[in-house]
Amino acid sequence: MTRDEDALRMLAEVEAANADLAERAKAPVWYHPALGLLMGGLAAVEAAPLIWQYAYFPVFGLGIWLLVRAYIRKTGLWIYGFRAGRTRIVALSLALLCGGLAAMSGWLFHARRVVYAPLLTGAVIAVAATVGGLLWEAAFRADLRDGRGL
Amino acid sequence: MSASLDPVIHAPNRLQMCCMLAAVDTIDFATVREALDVSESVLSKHVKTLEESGYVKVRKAASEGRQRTWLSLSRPGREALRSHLAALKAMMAGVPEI
Repeated sequence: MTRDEDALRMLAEVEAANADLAERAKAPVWYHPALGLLMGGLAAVEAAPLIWQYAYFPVFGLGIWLLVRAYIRKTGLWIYGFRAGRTRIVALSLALLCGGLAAMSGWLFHARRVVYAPLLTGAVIAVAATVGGLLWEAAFRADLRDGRGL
Repeated sequence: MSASLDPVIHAPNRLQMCCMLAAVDTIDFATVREALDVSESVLSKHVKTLEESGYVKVRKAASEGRQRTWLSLSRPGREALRSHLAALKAMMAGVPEI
């Protein structure tokens, strides 16, 4: 086998390993909708009395902890959301979008007395986070295909 | 600086393992073993080689009543892998597509 053929074989093995990882890293189908609901809940709970807002934080924390645990148990791995590559662009965009929506909702609710703003924003964030999570997974697979994010 | 092949990473299983580790934050030893389809002892040797070179970090943690071993790629490991893959791609220049 020549050096070139050896290199070709090695790169094919790298591709195979990445394809295997792309399959393993897939989250359970309910993972992104559950994350979306938890995030949407953070915005929506602003319309509730203060006591409920405080009560939601431990629920949110517990929910995130359970999601992380379930993901690790299923896949046997953990991936940092803001890892380099296309995934970082998706994660940052999603964080900015959700943060911006939550800030706008807070302003509408407190300054303009738009009482339904937190609920509407919560619903939009829930959908955005779900779609964003799926986009993140697609970006991760694309990164693995062309070796970005190393 | 030109990219060069790294003898530590060059072994097929170690190269595949480094690529897997490069894409994730941390991965379970058992998951890597299953993906590479190798025995525990073979993978342990590869992990030891990479750990001794400073390319892989090994962390043991109790999880659900049992000890699990978690692997992650270190910064020098990531740089070495990047350089190794660049060298492989450079060698491929001029090889016709299959």
